[in-house]
Amino acid sequence: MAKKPEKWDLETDVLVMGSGCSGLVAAIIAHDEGSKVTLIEKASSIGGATAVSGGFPWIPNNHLEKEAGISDSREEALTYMKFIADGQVDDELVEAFIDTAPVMIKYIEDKADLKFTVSEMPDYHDTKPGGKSRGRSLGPPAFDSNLLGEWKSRLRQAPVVIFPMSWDDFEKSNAKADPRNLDYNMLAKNMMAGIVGMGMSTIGCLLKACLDRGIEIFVETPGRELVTTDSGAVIGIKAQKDGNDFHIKASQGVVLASGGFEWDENLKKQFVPGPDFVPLSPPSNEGDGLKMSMAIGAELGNMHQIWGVPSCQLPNEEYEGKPLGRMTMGERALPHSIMVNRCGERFVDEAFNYSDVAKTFCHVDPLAYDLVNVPAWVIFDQQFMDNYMFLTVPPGEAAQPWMTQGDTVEELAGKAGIDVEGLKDTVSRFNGFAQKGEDTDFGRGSTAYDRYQGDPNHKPNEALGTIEKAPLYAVSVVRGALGTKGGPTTDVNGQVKHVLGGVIEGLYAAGNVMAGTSGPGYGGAGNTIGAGMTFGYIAAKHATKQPKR
Amino acid sequence: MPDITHVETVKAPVEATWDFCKDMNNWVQYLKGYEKHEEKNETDSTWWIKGDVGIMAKTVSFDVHIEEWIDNDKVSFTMKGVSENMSGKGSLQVAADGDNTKLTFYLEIKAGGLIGPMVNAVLSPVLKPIATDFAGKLVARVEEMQS
Repeated sequence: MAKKPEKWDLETDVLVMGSGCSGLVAAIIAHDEGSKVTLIEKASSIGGATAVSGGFPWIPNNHLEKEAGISDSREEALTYMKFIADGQVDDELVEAFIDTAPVMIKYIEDKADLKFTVSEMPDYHDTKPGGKSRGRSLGPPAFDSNLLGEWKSRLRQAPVVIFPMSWDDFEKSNAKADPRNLDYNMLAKNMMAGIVGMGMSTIGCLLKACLDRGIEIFVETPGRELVTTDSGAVIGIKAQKDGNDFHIKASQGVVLASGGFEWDENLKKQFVPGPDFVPLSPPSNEGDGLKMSMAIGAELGNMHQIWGVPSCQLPNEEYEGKPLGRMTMGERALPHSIMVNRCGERFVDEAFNYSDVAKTFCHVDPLAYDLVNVPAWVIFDQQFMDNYMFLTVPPGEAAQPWMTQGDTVEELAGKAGIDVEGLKDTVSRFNGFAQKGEDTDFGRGSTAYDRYQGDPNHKPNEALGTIEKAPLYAVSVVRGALGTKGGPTTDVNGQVKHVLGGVIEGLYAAGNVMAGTSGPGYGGAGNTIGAGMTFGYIAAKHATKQPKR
Repeated sequence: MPDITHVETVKAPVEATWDFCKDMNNWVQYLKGYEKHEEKNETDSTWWIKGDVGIMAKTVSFDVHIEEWIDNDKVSFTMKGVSENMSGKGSLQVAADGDNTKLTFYLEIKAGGLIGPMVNAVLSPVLKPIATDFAGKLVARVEEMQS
């Protein structure tokens, strides 16, 4: 921990560290509760992992569901969330999320002018008790980034295609199955006019709300150490600004909202088991808030969990100097593709939610002491190439050198290094499932979620199609992560707990820096954002009620 | 279609400027993101350029063909992505301007295919800094050789 400086460089009431959705919501709420707020961001741009995401909050029992006539309840939400958390999260923390999330999202809609729409996206375990086939994942609107004025250039740019349109329009177009449904000339005009969508829109709206409130924001100002009193209460932070120490007093509290530790190799090795994973978040997510809280005795939780996603890395692509990871969605879920291991065997319902599919990369053969599903490949055929988008390659366009090709299953398996007989058997068996429309091995296409991710125009099953039209293709797929989900544990007020008991006065955590409230699971699209926004709200509400130190 | 024309004055005679510009090997490395190039023959080569469009960086290889050399006037070329759906063209043109040389650099890059319009929207704003940087380095080198 840092010593209290002789003189503070800046004094505020609530200091927020990090500018993703958790931090921006915390800043808005703390301001609206009457406190002076300062927000610091390590990177040169605003938005963190939220900006490069779909920008959805997952909010069970929200008011938009009710307006749309979708039934949901606190009881159903609790049942479902406790199932997802699998006994690894305190019930009272789950209840705090379920009870506060709907209040938070209504407040943000009303006071921060961020208007969501109900998405058709099912929960990630929609068939389980309390699960819903639609309504809890809320899609962001389009946003005119010109409204940010000089901060427009500070809005984090997503390195992958994030369409400059509302989620509602995108979903209705069915472009996730057929990107040819979009008007790319119109989208290009939108881009050049400063319109943004999805995560950039969510962040844009929240950033504008902060700017409208006059909240002080510093970029390129990483937090380094927490400053405490002799009794251990946090009273400020030592940051760095322009290469110098920058001490900020926070009389009511510090809210850590600095994201996960997925870009810190040492922390990854220490805490996350299984094969190495590719981070898909901004490279500035190096666990700064986690390290700062560890240094003053924070209790840690959920450290071995990640928001996993099967991902690909294409040659020669970088984001802020680091290899760019690309998540797979339709590549696994649309017809005419499967995922196999080196034995040529399928090992999962490929179309299912990415977080739980990614867990299958961790399966170990105890006798061989080996990860049986690493390496793995997506196998697909020319029917897929003719009809769907594969990562960067639109339907009907030429194959890329990073796609291994073969005119037969044997040739493809040989070139890729997959067991030939295994892949032949698997493709033959899968083609039988595709023709019948039923996958009796893994149940692909049996859930509302699978079918949502598939092609609604493909029959008899939206997620199953034969692999038979040459050339056939193989692309390596690896374990990726939207972020880590372990960190300091918190109580129902968002206060960080001390490893020896009690809480660390003046210290709060929200978002991926904290021990996740979903434990090992992923409730639905936007669980990370919904929980982050909610605990940003909770932390700010509590901090602003504290006497000034 | 994203394109840019950039004009510079070179404090060197037109002959000396042309002598430098006529050979692509003298200046290709001044392109922002240049990684390497390989000559196939007198008119054809492959360039590897790491393009940084702000949101991401990617190394793209182009087959480049010299379309024409007009002595003491112009060298022009076409570019085609080896595996990317991109194409373009460019030229370096010199003209006497008293004791100096007026150098005109033209570059045009276009992404094709379904999402080409969106890629072009990203490319447009980066062409000007690329052209300014390239021409500035080229001019500095020619002038340095004269001093």
